[in-house]
Amino acid sequence: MRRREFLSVLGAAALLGSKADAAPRTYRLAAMNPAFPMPEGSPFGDIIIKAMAKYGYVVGQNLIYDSLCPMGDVAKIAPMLAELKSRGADAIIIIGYPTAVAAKAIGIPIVAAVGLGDPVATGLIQSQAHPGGNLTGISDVAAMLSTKRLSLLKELSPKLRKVAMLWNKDDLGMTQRYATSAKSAEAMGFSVQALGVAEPDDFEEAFAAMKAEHPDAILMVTDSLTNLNRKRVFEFAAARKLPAIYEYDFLARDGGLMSYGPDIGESFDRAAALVDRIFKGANPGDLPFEEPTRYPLVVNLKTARAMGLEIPPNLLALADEVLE
Amino acid sequence: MCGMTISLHRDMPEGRTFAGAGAKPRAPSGSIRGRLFTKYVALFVVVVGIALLCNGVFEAILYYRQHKAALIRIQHHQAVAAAARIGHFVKEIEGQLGWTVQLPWSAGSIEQRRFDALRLLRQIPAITELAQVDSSGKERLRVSRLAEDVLDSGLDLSNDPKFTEAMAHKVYFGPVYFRRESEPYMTLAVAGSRKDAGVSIAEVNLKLIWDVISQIKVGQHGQAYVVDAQGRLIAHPDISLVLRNIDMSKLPQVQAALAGNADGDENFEGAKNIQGRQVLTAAAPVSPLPWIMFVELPVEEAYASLYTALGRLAAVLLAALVFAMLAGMFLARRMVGPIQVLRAGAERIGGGDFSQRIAIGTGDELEGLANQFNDMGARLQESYADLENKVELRTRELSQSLQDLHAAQDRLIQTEKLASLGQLTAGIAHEIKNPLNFVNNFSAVSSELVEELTDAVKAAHVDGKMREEIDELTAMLKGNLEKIVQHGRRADSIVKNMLLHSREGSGEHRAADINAIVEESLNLAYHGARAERPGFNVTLERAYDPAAGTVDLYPQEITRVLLNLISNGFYASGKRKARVGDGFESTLRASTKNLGDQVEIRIRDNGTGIPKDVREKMFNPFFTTKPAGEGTGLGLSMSHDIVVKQHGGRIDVETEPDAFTEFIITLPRTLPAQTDTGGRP
Ligand SMILES: Nc1ncnc2c1ncn2[C@@H]1O[C@H](COP(=O)(O)OP(=O)(O)OP(=O)(O)O)[C@@H](O)[C@H]1O
Ligand SMILES: [Mg+2]
Repeated sequence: MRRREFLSVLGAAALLGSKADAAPRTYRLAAMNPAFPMPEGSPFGDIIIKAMAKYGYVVGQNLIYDSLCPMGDVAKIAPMLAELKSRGADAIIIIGYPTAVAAKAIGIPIVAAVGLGDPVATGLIQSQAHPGGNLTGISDVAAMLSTKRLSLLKELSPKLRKVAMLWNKDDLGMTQRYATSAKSAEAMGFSVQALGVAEPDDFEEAFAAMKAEHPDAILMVTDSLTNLNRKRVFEFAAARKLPAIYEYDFLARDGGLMSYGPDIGESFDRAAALVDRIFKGANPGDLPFEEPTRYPLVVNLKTARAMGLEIPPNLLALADEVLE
Repeated sequence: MCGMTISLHRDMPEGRTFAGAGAKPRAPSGSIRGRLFTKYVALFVVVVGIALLCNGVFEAILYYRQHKAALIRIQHHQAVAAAARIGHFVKEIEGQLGWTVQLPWSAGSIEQRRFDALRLLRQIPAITELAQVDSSGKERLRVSRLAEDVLDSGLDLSNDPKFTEAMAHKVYFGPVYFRRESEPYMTLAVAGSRKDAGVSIAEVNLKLIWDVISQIKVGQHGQAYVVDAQGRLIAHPDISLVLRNIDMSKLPQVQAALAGNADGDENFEGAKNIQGRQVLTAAAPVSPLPWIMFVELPVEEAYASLYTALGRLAAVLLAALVFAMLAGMFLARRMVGPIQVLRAGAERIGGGDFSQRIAIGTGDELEGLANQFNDMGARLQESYADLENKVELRTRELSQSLQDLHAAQDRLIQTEKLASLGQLTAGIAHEIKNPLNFVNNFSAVSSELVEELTDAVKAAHVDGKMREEIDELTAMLKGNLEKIVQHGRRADSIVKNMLLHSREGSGEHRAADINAIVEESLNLAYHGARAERPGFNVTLERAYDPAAGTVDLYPQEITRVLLNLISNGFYASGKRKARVGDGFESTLRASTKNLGDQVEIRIRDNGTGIPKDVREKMFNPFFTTKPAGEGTGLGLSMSHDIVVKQHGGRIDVETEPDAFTEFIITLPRTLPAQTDTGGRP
């Protein structure tokens, strides 16, 4: 054997020992929730930062976290996304269908975490397995869950006949969700009081309508508008002793009576996993949309007691989280 | 080999020069040494290297096989363990489902069953939907995470495999299907141990296997994944791959496993995985499902330790080779060193340095060879010395001959020169003789005429003053005429001598008593000299060899020779006396000696001696050192002619300035044949 070959063998052996790691890079992750701000320190902001830490991204080390919030002003979404992009975001985690619509055109990777609805049905993507474009994330079968929510409402008050539905009528995703819910409610034999709202002032009108028509329960379709005005809804429901169900656990924790919907923590966790893949070079269009697996039922016993409402023990036994 | 000493290079400094061309052929010695040395080293290295290499390669192959076998074994174990975990995951769901089919439909309310079913959903997140069918195949209950609970839907499942298979085999695993084309699901149906307990049918979200599969650690970068009986990916740490509903059956390792080799120890070496990396894959069936668990490890990682070990082996091999090279160099130096000494020694002997001795103390054949070289050198040295002596002798003889030859040649040239001059002078003398006779005769007559004139003037009457003048003039004329007569006579004698010199023949030759001729000449010369110069005095010594005997010669000529030699001697000794003063006694000695067929005559004076420059030219005609008008310079020239040419003898001279001059005439007893007629050439 010649010396050169020896050396090359030795060199190969040496190379195997020390594989050079890529130079560490700092990534910039942006987040946008149209309803309420989620900077570092806020509940959602911390959920995202914690989820990212699981994949090795630490703020101040290799991650810069950035967020903007249009405070429900849909018109501001697109310019703010552009602002986030111009600040050098490598990816943006978004919440809500309108944000997704605006973000589709922006050209940087977008991960939708929560509140997207069925992206195939709304035409955001072609298929869950191969979304294409710059968008991936967690799809939300919330529309389908309406029947489940209605049945839970019925479990709470078996006399349920008429349900009031509150949704943002300016939001296509929400309108679709409302339509599905209304259809399933009718299929279940309920009458539906449709309360589409477009701006905060519309809530008073909706409350007045409910006062007039006396629905047996409220189902609120959550989007930035309804979310921003949640406290008013909670208060109204409590005052009128109206059972209400919400879509996300945080709403029940915030004072809503109960919620049934995908696990927000899990959704953000999966979103962080997708962001990680994107940071590692994956094309978001190649990353399939994921569906939530856990749907926690959260019951706020405090609110129930304040309303003088008795929660059936079976329902309590099935609740994943009971707030006392 | 310990007693070896190699002394050539150390004992002989490089600067030493050898006889003749001994130092010349040193130039190529370096390359010769290099060749032999490198040949030895190369041979050694090749032999040792091949041995090492064979051993190394053998070891490497053995190690490689063992390592691979171990690797395959470990990976297979991993696959089996991982399969067991997946199996456990499914079994657990199956076990939980079993609780729901413990009681017959007749017992308990349907509400209670619904509640139990919902609790089951809460406990097992993987179950998205649960249906309960009674023993007749009617769906009695359906609960779901996503949809409204349904009681007594009346759906008839009595012919559905979910029901029939579960009734038949207690448990039924449906095929994997993908909801919304991405989420993998499987139907799991369990029948109760009692016939009337019915069947529970669960839709299991296989995405939750991800929790299990992502926790299976395979090396550092390896991974485990599960494929269903159709080759579709149902579990993978990269969940997006699963959600993409990927058909894995194109991978050769999956193909082979699906073909039934799943449980084999086969290892699909170097096949590419779905991400395109080269991996080492092991497979194991997931019981009780028709799934296959794959465990793959990137080839680089799998073989990293192997490569390290091989690298170490190569390093050891390299070190061994280097050692072999050093050892080879050492041994070759030991081997080549004495040969080198031998070669250098032989070269020096070849170059002429026979005193060279090669000192090798290896105690083997090489030492013997060196000794033979030394013997050869000694032998050569002896014969060389002998040869040198002989050459010296011959050279001396040759140079002697050459010297003799030169002398002979010189004499011959002299002889030739003199001969031609002789002829010339004869011609000239003859031409001068007649005008000279006129001069002599008319000057004599004119002298008489002047006397007559004097007488005539005496008789005439001339006044006193006139007479005085005439007398003075006549006296001057007479003086001049006398001088003309005197010098005329001298010229006459020169011409006569010249004629004598060249005259052919000089009487008869006869045998004459040599002592008598010498005595006669001595007397003649003495009396002649005394007559010429009255104050002349010289002591004559005679040393005649009584045995001198007779010699065949021309007596007249030899007498002339002797006369000339003797008078030259008188002149020289006289000259010395004149210089030294009265204390000096001029001596001339004449001697003879019998030399057998030759006779030697010596004429020795104690005069001025002859300086070297004169000696070289004194035999030339007309060469003289005497003042003008005294000598002709023909004496010795003539003597040489007579002795050498006419008599075939020799005339030599020995002299020392201010001491003596001795002319030696050697005459053969008989005249040489060519001069027998007495003629001179
Ligand atoms: N015995 C001698 N001692 C010293 N010089 C001699 C002797 N014999 C000859 N010579 C030198 O050799 C010269 C030549 O001598 P050579 O007999 O031929 O002529 P020469 O004696 O000079 O004249 P010439 O014989 O006619 O009287 C002399 O002039 C003298 O110088
Ligand atoms: Mg003379």
